[in-house]
Amino acid sequence: MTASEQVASGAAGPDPELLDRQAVRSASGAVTGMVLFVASEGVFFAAFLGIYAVSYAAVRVWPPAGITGPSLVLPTIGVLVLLASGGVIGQAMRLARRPEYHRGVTLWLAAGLAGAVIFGVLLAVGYASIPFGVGQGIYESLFYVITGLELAHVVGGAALLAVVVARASSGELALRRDPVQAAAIYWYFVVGLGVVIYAILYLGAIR
Amino acid sequence: MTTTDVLAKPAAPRPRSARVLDWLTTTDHKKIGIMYIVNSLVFFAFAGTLAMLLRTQLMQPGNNVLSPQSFNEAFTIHGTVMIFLVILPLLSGFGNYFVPLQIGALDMAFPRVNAASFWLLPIGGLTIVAGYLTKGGAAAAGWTNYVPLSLQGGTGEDLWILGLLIVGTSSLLGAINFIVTVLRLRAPGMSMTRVPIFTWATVTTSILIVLAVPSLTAGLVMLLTDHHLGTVFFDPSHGGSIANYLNTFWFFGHPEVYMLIMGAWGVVSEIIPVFSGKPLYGYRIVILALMLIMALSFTVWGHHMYTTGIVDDSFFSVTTELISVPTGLLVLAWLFTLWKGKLRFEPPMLFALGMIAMFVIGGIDGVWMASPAADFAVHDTYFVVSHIHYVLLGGSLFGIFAGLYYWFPKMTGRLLDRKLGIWQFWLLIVSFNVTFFPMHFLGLMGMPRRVATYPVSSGWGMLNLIETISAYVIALSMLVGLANIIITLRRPRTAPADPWGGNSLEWATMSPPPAHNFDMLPEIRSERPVRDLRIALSAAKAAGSGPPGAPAAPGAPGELAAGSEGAAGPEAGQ
Repeated sequence: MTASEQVASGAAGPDPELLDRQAVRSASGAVTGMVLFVASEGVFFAAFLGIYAVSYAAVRVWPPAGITGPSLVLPTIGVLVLLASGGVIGQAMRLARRPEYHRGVTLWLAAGLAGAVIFGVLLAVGYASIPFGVGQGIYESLFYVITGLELAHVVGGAALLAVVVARASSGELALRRDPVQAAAIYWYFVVGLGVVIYAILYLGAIR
Repeated sequence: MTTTDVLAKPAAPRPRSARVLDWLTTTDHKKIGIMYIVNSLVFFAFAGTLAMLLRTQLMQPGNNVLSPQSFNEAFTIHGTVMIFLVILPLLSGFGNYFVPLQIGALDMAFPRVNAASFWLLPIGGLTIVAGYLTKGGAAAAGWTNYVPLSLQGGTGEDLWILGLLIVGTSSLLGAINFIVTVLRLRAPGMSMTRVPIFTWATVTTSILIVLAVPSLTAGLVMLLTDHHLGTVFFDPSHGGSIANYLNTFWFFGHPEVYMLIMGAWGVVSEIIPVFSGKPLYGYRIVILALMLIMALSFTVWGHHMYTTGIVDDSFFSVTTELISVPTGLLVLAWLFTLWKGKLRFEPPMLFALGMIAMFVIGGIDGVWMASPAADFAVHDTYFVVSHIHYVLLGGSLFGIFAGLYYWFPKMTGRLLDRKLGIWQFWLLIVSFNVTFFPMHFLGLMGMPRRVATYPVSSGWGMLNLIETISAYVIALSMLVGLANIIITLRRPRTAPADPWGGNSLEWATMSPPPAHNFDMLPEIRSERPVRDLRIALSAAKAAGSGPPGAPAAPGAPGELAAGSEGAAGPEAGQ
């Protein structure tokens, strides 16, 4: 077929080669898409942390006078669980990358999901013992809004991991590994976020 | 009947309900692109009507057409809708339709996410507009929605915030989709340095959206929590600060300005070479300029806050002056492309040239106001209103109209009427300048923006009267454009695959393209594959080796231009 016929003729149906290429490449698109999404989430939290930094720089005493910081017991256990869940999800991703499908992927993913749920529960339970209210000052407002958004992201991450666990246990991930990768990237973000928030909002509030 | 006609019509006529359902549930990037455009045009009519009300109110001193409260609501909703629901989604609509075509892909990377991004738009838009149905009226704190004024708003204000959160989600999903599509789905041979400038501009716009919109989202979340949950982010008496809002808003707000204009630059960068019969001057420099502007746009947000005393004016003044350098490169690239070209003054070209001229005026205003001394004088006056309209109407919307005239035949198979197009252009460019240029003078005379009326003694009455009359001519030009679209859509589909002699891949398929976009792709060896194909075809024809009875090369009008360029094109060096 000459070039002119390529353009003007109307042979119906797409080129099968094009279809193949689309299928192969859109598989890795999920991972790229997740990286971009996480970048955008990073800016979202950076906005709050930026306000934290500006407020911190504006006063001599931090947290502002008269505030007792939150208790450290539950958050410390929580952040350790969170780090462990990150390691567990990393192991799931390593297994998923093997050329032959490894049945352990499902188990490791489920363990990571359990870690996510435990961390979320600890975070939520921790609110009961916070010694300050949301409207008392800028530290308190930042504390509640940032940890609240963190909790929302943990819930979202747990939902994502649950979907991947379900798909893994159906055997579907033997064919496609990018859902595991995409979920792992998101979960790494949540883990990193949890550590930063622990360092700034909890450890940073120790006088 | 040619094969094109057979494909253009469905094999058997389907019932209307099935076709409607088709549109409601489609994941085809072309249909979604058209829905983006139609949705934006509806919102455009609405926000344009508000603009007419505003101008009617300002027609003479002490006028009483709108109460101060409805005036505030009208300019707030006008600005918000024009920015978030007209200009940005119109460019996304073109992006949806043409980015996959320009890179030789079958669809976007995530077609279902794409449908979701579209459907969030009318939902978010209607949420914002629904403020008009509430007791306290719509949001009335301006599109920048500054605290503490906005914290005193009622339900309309909350709807504004929720609507923008929805629209922001739509933009974010769409932007991720565009970036992944361009990174992952380019056809063989389509390296990043052969990707058309419009697609490049869509990518840089999308990167801005991914990295800037979340800052707005954070600001909106804080507005909601301050208003309803008792947080004190913006309350100075509890350690909060107004600056927290200004910074989060403008860290988004200035890149936003570039989100609104980059796509229009992309459209103009497609049109100028085609109607000059020349390659785009400095294709790679244009890409570099887009990337520089993208990066620099994150460093200039403080220039909106010169008069607040909370930013380092000299720093932001320098970065703002700096961003005019790559912007100047773009303008020079367009001018050098025009230089000694065989210019064809079709409607797309007219609008593209108009865009360059108007954008340069708006841009020079911007360079001017980058100087804090000048900005202190004209801050919050009509000078700024003039500037933003030169950039957003004269820049973005002229670019969008250029794109509409350029791509309409590809999207619908019908060429928009040339005479009506030329009428619309001249009506618009004259009335646009008569409306918005005198605002410079009003600003320098001290007329404040966002104030419902002015006294007779101010002496601003005559200029305002002229502007209002001229604004009605702008509305008339829009009606001419609308009539053009309606008349054209009733005509038969006669547009050839390549009516203009185009360069990029969207012209290598039928008008409108089949659902799967391409039956076959031409080889891609430069950033102008369709022109390469055209030259190869005419060379083959001249050598007499063409197949007997082969159909003519696409784009007969472009053949002359292409042939006259000879072999000494820029590709020779690549």
